[in-house]
Amino acid sequence: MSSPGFYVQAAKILDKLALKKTTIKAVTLADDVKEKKKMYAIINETLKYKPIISEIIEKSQILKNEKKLSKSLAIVLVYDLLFGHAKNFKNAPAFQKIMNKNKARLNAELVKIKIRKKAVNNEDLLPKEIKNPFILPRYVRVNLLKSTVDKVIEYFQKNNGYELLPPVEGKELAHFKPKTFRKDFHLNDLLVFPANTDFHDHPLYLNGTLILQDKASCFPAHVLSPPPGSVVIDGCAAPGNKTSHVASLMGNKGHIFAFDLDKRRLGLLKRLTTKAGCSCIEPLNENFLEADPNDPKYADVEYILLDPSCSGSGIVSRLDQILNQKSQEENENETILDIKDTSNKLVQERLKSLSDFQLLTIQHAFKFPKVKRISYSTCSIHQIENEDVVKRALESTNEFRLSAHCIPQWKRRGLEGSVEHGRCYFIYV
Amino acid sequence: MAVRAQFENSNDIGVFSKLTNSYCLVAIGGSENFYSVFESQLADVIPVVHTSIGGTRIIGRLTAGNRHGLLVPNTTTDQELQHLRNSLPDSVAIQRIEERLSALGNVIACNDYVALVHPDIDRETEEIIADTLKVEVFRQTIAGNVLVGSYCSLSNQGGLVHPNTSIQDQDELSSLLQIPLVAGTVNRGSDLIGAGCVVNDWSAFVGLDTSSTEISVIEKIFNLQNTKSSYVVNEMRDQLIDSMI
Repeated sequence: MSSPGFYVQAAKILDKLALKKTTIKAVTLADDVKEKKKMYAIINETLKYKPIISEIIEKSQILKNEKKLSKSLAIVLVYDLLFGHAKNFKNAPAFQKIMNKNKARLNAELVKIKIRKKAVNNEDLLPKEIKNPFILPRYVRVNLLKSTVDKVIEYFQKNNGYELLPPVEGKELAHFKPKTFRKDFHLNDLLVFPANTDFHDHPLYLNGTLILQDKASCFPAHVLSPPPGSVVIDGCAAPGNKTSHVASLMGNKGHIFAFDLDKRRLGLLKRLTTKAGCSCIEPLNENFLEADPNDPKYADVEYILLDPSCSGSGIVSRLDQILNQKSQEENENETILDIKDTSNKLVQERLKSLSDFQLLTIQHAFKFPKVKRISYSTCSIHQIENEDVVKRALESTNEFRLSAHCIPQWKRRGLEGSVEHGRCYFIYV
Repeated sequence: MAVRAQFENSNDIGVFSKLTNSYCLVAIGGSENFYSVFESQLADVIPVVHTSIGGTRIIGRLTAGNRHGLLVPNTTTDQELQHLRNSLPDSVAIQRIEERLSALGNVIACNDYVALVHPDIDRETEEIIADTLKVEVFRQTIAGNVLVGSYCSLSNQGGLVHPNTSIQDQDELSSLLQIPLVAGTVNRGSDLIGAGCVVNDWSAFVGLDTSSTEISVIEKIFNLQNTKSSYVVNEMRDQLIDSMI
């Protein structure tokens, strides 16, 4: 039930995405898109089925017979015909004629593919990881500077009709009824909501009481847990969610030096931390590695939070997966680097240089005279960036050791005593 | 049960008749013998209609149809079309097709759910087939032959295909059609299955030359052994009860 313009625009978006220079969200939610939700949905779904649709288009030779259609327009139209809701393209008469002429043929090719793959439903054609994506629940951190956990819970129960369930751990979180929420099992200022809960215009989010932050990113501040009044350094601070979390735990008392090299990202940090009501943060547009440990400014620094640049290999994003699906033809001239592929030489080199940088930041943190505790985290799944960095750092010093019992409720520890949650590793001194 | 028949000394009865689950067409011949064979088996259940197509008697090769519809070539005269419309049940859609490959019976093989068609058939024809016969349309060959209608015979129960069809092809066709298939012959070794044998879900007619071995294969694959009684019990019970009340 969409206008011809909608399909044409969708086709253009597919072309843009094929260049891999932009993201699905950026193009579908751009200003010139009229029906944003619909566009997002159709692009998302079309990309899921793209390898199959490409095969159908090739076998049915629709492009040979319909010279007017571009490949990406054909993909969108075929998606809507075979998998979507447009049974007859009523509002797009220009395409109605073309598609009606080819309907039977396209359908036949789909059925043949289904039979070959022994699929009962269209969904069965999708690869497993796309059909059943691993859904993380929506974690929301309560900003203790603005409110308390109990007040927020009460707000949700009263104003939004949510039901509070007892906290659970691990896999049980996967089955989550809508309109329910829990306190997190491990971290006391974290709430867990069903995966698709929309917070972007929630009043508590808008006024900075709630901060949308995944559980993995909440661990470092808790591990560090500096008491109110302490002096803290955040070595690689932007975009500032972890920094504001530390401030929240410190009750805004004390001082936080937030380093970041990138001016633009530091501006983002200022915006975010101001919104969260943090007044104890001092943003510094400097390189943490060049900060002088003997500067009297840093004389009282006892706690250091390090979340240095990493490969990002542990970041879970469903959208990445569907964009990276390739049909066979594309596979042959594939040049794009997949950071999760450790067998690739380029990837190995990059990981090596990243881990060297990560090691440097930790070793630099060791130099501060009064420092008692360092928390180190990455969002990588590679040992070379995690346990190995920690191991090398500890080998270079005898003043620090690995903490044995940070967050005792958390049972999974990575190799050699570091802690893993999804992508979270700690040293604790 | 499969019944042997002959049309004016020819064993190719599929050329001169078209049988579906909701109607049967037979050619106008010199005598009524051929017609009587069909009528004795079918008259209680479905209409058996005398007709010609474009003035010819080879109606089985010129038409294609199933329970939902009947496709006739553009050589069909208006008079014939009117006669068919008057004789067939209202639920059957009749459609005249402008198609270069005008022997529709040779280029289309179908049951009530799926149609196999000649690979070169027109795209618009393909759409008309899908809409009129309410089937999914697949471009296929049978044992390398493009004339799918000539070399196979299908019902909703099963299908008989050209004797040279490889096992692999049979598997593919069988999964497309969702029915069991067997490769075989009719009329004592003829590979023109479509010409030698016409079937629907509860009856079959074969050329007079067909051997009893061939008949037993046909009865087996089309599930025709004792179906008369089970058909009465299962399928016709409601109609019978209706008419008794």
